[in-house]
Amino acid sequence: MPGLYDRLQGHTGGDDDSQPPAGLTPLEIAGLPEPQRTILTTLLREAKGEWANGLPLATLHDMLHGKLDDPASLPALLDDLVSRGWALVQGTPPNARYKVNLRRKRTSSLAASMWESLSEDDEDNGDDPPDDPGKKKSGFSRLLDW
Amino acid sequence: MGKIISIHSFRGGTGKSNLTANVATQLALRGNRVAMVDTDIQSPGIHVLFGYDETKITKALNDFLWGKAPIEETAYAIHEQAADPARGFLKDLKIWLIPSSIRTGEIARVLREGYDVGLLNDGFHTLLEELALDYLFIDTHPGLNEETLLSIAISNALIIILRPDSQDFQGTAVTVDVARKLEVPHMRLVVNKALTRYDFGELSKSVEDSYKVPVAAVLPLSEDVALNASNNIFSALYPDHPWSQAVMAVANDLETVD
Repeated sequence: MPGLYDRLQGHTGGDDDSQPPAGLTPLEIAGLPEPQRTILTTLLREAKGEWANGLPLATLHDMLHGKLDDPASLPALLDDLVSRGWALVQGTPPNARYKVNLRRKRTSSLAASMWESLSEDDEDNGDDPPDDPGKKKSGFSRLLDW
Repeated sequence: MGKIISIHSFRGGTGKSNLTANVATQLALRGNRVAMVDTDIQSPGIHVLFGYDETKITKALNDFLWGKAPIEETAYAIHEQAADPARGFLKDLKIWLIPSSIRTGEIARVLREGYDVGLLNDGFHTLLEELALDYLFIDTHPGLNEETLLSIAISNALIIILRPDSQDFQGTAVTVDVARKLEVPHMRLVVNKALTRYDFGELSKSVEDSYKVPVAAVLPLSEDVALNASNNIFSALYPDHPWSQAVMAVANDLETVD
């Protein structure tokens, strides 16, 4: 997941086109050679539930069992992915957790006037429609309580 | 942990949303907890099959992607549509829908500004966990774009729909190739709108031989389904119909996903 700075950039329109954006896209992952591709697709697919904030090295090592020619190289491969900005690491070894750094979707380069014309509809509809009185409950309890 | 299932086609009009809604409903009818996310932001439509329109969709996936609402506020418990006598079968089902906005301005905005695909990924996993889902279906935009590739990359299973048509055949080969590179653990093909004059067994074998991917089902081109016009969940209304039986074969296959 992009860091706070990346997210704020997206919301403020502060992208600097002279610098390549951090992270990578799923298409770029598909185009990577082994073993980088296998590591990143595993990080992407398995980062859920207990591992939502990233996978520990030992867990990733187990998940990649039989998929890497040289399993002992995994720590160095992860360090390389982090240094390239393709993976994020939280914490320090042996408690470090790794996660894919997905790049924010590129914005459109179509003429601004076209988007302005289309976006007029936003104002017509109102950005924040009033809440349905029958849906006063908030959070997941609203969805689970019947 | 629940499974993420992406339903994809290289070209539009293959019946992707219809299949997603029907397979998801069949799995819910078997007691599974199921949610569907409409990531076809440019041309959303699956909400129609469950009777939602712009008056009922006050918040959508777009609001989550812009940071205006948590993912749970964009989800709709579909059992609420059971008040309509034609949708009584939904009454006791644990099934949710996260629609995309159908407002022109909001579609334009998300196309113009883009969004954080990492946030979309987080939203999928939040839904899986908080709703204790058995299956999370992602109804994708046809073709290959970033959100589609993300969906494929994080999925436990990928269903690719194609029609018996040369354009579909070539495009599907591209999707299969990308899915292989993204190492999707469970990939299946579904042939839709097959003329009833075809031998479905031979068609299935021919497609499997071409792509080296198993075919989960061949769905017949059906006037009965066309008459339904995406107004309801056909397989729930007519479970004995050949089209519905093929939908159930897809559901059976998905129950084998590890």
